[in-house]
Amino acid sequence: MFEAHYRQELTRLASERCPCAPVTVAVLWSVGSSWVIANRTSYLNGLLARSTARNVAATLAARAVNVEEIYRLNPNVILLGHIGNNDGVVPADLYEEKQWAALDAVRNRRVYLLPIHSFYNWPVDAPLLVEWMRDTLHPDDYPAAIRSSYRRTYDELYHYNLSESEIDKALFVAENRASAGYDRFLGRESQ
Amino acid sequence: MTCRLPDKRSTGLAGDERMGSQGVASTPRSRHMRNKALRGKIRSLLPKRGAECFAAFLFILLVMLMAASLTIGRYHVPFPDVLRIVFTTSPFATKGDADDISWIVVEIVRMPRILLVTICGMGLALAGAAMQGVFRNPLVGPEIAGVSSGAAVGGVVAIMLSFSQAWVVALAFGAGLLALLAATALATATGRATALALVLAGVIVGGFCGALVSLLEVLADPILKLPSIIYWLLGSFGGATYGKVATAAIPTLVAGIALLLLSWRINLLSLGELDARSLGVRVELLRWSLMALVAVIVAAQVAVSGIVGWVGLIVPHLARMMVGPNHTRLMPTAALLGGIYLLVVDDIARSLTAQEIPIGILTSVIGTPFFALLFWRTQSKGWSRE
Repeated sequence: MFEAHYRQELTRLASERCPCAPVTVAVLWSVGSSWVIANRTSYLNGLLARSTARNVAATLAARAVNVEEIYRLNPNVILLGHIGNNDGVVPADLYEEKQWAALDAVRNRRVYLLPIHSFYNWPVDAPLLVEWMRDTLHPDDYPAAIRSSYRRTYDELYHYNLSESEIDKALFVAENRASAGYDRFLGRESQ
Repeated sequence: MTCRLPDKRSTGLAGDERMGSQGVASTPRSRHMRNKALRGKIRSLLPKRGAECFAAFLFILLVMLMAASLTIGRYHVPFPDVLRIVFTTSPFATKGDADDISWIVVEIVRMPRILLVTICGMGLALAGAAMQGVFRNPLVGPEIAGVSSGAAVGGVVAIMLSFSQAWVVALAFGAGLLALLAATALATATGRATALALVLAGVIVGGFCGALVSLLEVLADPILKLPSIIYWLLGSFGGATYGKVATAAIPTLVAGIALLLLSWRINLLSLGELDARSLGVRVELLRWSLMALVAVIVAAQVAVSGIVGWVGLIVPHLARMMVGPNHTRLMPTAALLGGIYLLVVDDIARSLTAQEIPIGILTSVIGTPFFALLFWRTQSKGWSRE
């Protein structure tokens, strides 16, 4: 059932792909005082491609990079990972610290904490992640229907009725609120 | 006035005697007077001037290297832009330049890192030179008192408890000093604290702290906490901020200046405990003070950048090869060389590849073969004679 859902959702998302230009994205984790970047081996590369995005580090072998390297790559959007270590870094940290101030993603307030997802729940989470990424990365080309997709997915697969606050938590609404376009994802309660 | 490298003939008392005897005069009395005056002059001026010139040369080299480092990095900033930014703007400006990538890279990313690296390199080398003098042993480094391992425990605990960066620095610093206290207490408990007792106490405390770090690594969540701990322990100046510069600079400057002021006493101490005692040195008090000063420097360094090994071990050796074993000359030279060395290594670490290379790995990879070379070259002279 899960596999069928996974295939069906990915097919649906592929059929809805916009003809828009790919957005450049870097996915970062804060590790100690270093930054780990999603490189050519990242699990997210396939999902990013499905979301009409290009990982700026898709050809890099490096894992730990410094701030200058991120300036060199200068992506349109920065996604902060949370699977694994992120030292609790949220978009507001990047907006506040002066060292990030000149990055395009920071100037345009396009830094987002990835929604909760897990490798153990891949068939459920991966399609939701693709949908979230395409809605976030191409706000003009897609309606923000991610909340209803969450509700529908969990109802279909687990017969569980997700509450508004549970969806808020999954989408890190509080953390992402200050970022461009995230108010589209607010539920009635969180508004 | 010409500057020249002080060599063996101009660095020690024997050299002074040799030069003093070069005076030539007609009558025995005037010759004696002239010799005496010459000897005094030579003693006070010549060797010192040579050393000063060399130190000045190293200082200029260090400053030039710091300036050159501002132009090196993964993000290309053209040289004229670097000059314009350094000479016309301030890193503490509140508006205007924050949109300019070059300005951010030079003033906010590179500048504090270069300052931090220089301070830590100078501090570590100075601490190492002092320790080698105190223990009359070329194999000791500033880590000998268990301070690095102690600081590591503090930092790892702070990371495990999800404390902020400032707390990681504070806890590491505090734990480093605590490790020194423990080593001191242990050495004192054995009766008269000889150099050997101190080294052994340091090894014991360091070993215990090392085990604690391993235990914490095992207990740490392998996905959420372990990577942070490993990266922090490997050592990096990557997260340098002006706050960290201040954190490292204040203790390092205070303790470093104190060490420099005590450097001639270290000379006496390096004659051996008995000789120093007979020359009126309060050996134990001096030794404790030096250890405490060294611990402050090392704790400050580990707190801001994790463990950076081998700098305090090989740089004093290099300095000794250049200016001889007199600590009043050796220690400033070691400090300047330490800054130069760590700056070069960090430039490699941050700009050679897209991957930031942990500096602790690089200093060890460069340090150990270099130390092997020194060991081979100096087998027949210097310390090995004792």
